[in-house]
Amino acid sequence: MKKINYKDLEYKYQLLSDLMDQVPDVIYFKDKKGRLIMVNQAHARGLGLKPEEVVGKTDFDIFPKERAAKMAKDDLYVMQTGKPIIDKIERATRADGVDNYVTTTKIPRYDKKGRVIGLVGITRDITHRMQLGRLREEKERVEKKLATLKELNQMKSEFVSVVSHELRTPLAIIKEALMLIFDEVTGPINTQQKEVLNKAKDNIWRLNNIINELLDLSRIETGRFKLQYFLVNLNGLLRDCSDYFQKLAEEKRISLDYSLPRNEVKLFIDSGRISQVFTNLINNAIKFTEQGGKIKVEVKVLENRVRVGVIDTGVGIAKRDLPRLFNKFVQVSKVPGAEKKGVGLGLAIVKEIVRKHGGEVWVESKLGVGSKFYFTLPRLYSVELLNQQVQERINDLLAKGLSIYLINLPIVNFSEFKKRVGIEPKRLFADLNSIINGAFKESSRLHQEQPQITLQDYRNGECSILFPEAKEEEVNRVDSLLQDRIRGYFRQNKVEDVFMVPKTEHPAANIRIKKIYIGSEIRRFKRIYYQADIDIFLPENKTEPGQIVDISQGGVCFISKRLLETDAQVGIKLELPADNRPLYIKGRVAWIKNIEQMSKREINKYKVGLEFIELENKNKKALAKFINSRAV
Amino acid sequence: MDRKKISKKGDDLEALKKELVSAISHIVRTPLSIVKEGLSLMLDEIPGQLNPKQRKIIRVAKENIDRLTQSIEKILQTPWGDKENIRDLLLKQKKRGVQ
Repeated sequence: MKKINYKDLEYKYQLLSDLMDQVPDVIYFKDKKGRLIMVNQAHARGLGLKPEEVVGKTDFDIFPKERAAKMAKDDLYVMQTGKPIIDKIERATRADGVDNYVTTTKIPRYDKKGRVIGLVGITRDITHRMQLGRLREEKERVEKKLATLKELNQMKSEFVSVVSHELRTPLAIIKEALMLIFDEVTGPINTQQKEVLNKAKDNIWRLNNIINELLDLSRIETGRFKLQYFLVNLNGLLRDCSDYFQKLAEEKRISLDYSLPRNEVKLFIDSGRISQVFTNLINNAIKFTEQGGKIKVEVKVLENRVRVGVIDTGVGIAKRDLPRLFNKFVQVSKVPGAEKKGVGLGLAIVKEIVRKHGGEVWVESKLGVGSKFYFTLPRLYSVELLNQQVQERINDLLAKGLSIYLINLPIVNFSEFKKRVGIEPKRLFADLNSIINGAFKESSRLHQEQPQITLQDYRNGECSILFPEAKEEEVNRVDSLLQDRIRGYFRQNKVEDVFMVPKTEHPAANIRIKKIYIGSEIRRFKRIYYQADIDIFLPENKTEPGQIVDISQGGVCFISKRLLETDAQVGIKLELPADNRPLYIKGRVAWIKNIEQMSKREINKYKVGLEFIELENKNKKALAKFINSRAV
Repeated sequence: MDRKKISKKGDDLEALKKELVSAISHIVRTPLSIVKEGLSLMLDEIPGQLNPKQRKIIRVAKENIDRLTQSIEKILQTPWGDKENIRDLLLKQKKRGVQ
């Protein structure tokens, strides 16, 4: 008989018991009747017991009957066949009621004679691994879907573009043919024939509109939607199409009024596209207003933008429809006959046109009361200052299809600046002219076919340089040369703290404007960033909190959770750091921007531009003091 | 890529696609058929007689409308998941000389 080495045995036992106790897997030994004869720490811990408390129990004492029966079946299989079960993945419920995934391996145990006396089992919690796998699958699925969506979207654009292009040419031919007959070029026709032709003409026109909308959509979706800027008087643009709308409104006995500012509103816009916006909004207003209703088209010149409103007393839009009104293929109206006329793209295109111009579009509406559609367009002071000659020149070049760069050198508050610098205006401008010529010579622009045009107005302190067909880097070179030299010029003449602010506008269009402001102030109102909480006093004695973004002596821009009404008069309570008592100021809501929500859970927020009205003297002083103290 | 398999997964997408096509075909077909009606009436001289010049012009217009209607029907019936299909179709039409 072999001698037992107790030391070696103890050591081996220690190793085994370390494995049993430290391993996170559940390990158990069962006898032939399914009783647990030994379990490790992990097994007992999972049940909230100690290992010795588990010994002697069966699965039926521990687990729900259904599950225990399943386990007993597996046990029986292993012990009867002598075949192990390896890595069987199952859903399980832990003792604490949490659902998880486990993998189990069961191996039969034999006595020395080779008879099965029980089994050893190892069970591992693989919930994490399964979740990870599930996540990966989910990710793959979403990615696949995204790819499909993208592909589909492109196909859709292609499809729409194909259909529209295909229809356009034959349609134009048919239109021409009908006009020839209708205008009696080919011989007289009677009234009945005219009537038939008229109806056909209307429908051709309708088709044309549909196709144009579809084409616009495919342009927008493929990024080929580009603007062609012209220098336009907005009032004139509205007046040009007013006869047409007047007639349309009269047919429905609707009164259509225009409220336009007396002065011309000169803007750099794509006149065709903005006309399209007018047409869309006014047509909609007429379509959704009943007999005897009223429509008002108003243009308001604001601080640095122009606001156009189309206000009707029509059927209105339900509150739930408002958020998706500017989406594609949306038609919310239940007005009979109205739903068939379009594709539901009009407002989506309006939104895109306004957005491309750098403006905002928003709507306020009440069922049965009417709707108010507003949009804004950015306004440039310098454009209004340009004289007729320059304006004509610009449009001339644009009409020839040339793209234009415009460098504007406006001297802000020229009358004061004149006094301060002590240089005679004529000399100042002669000097500026030679600086400009020098800068162009150095950038070798003068040898080219289209030389620059310099226009100066030394009474108003305005200097503009036009150069057609310039390359971006060329313009940048001239621009930085000009800035350096003008700065140097003032330094030479001992004029200190002249600041110059370069600014580029309308990128990616046929006109680009670079402005170099010269002077001590850039705007009519100095605007400073100031973050503070305010109270907004709404009509009907309601108060709403808000956060200021920036402030000037002319107005304030703040964020509000409530959608305010355009042109509504509200009061604000505002605290300035230097003052002990808050200021109470009255203002008018000039424009609204819906800040797009990142997730659905977030509440809507609106950026609101408020213009001060009837600003009291003491408030004016306090604001001026604060703004000047903050300004750099 | 197995397109059929994917579009089965995105049933809502398929539905959307169908909806778009049927919306477009509906809004395009209605005015087209009205124009066609009108031109047929004119050619049949129901509202009044035509001189040879007028007749010729209206016939050309009518032919164009007929071809247009046909080509739209074709495009709308073509499974537009397949770009090549549409391109082929267009090429054929150009050769046929739809003007």
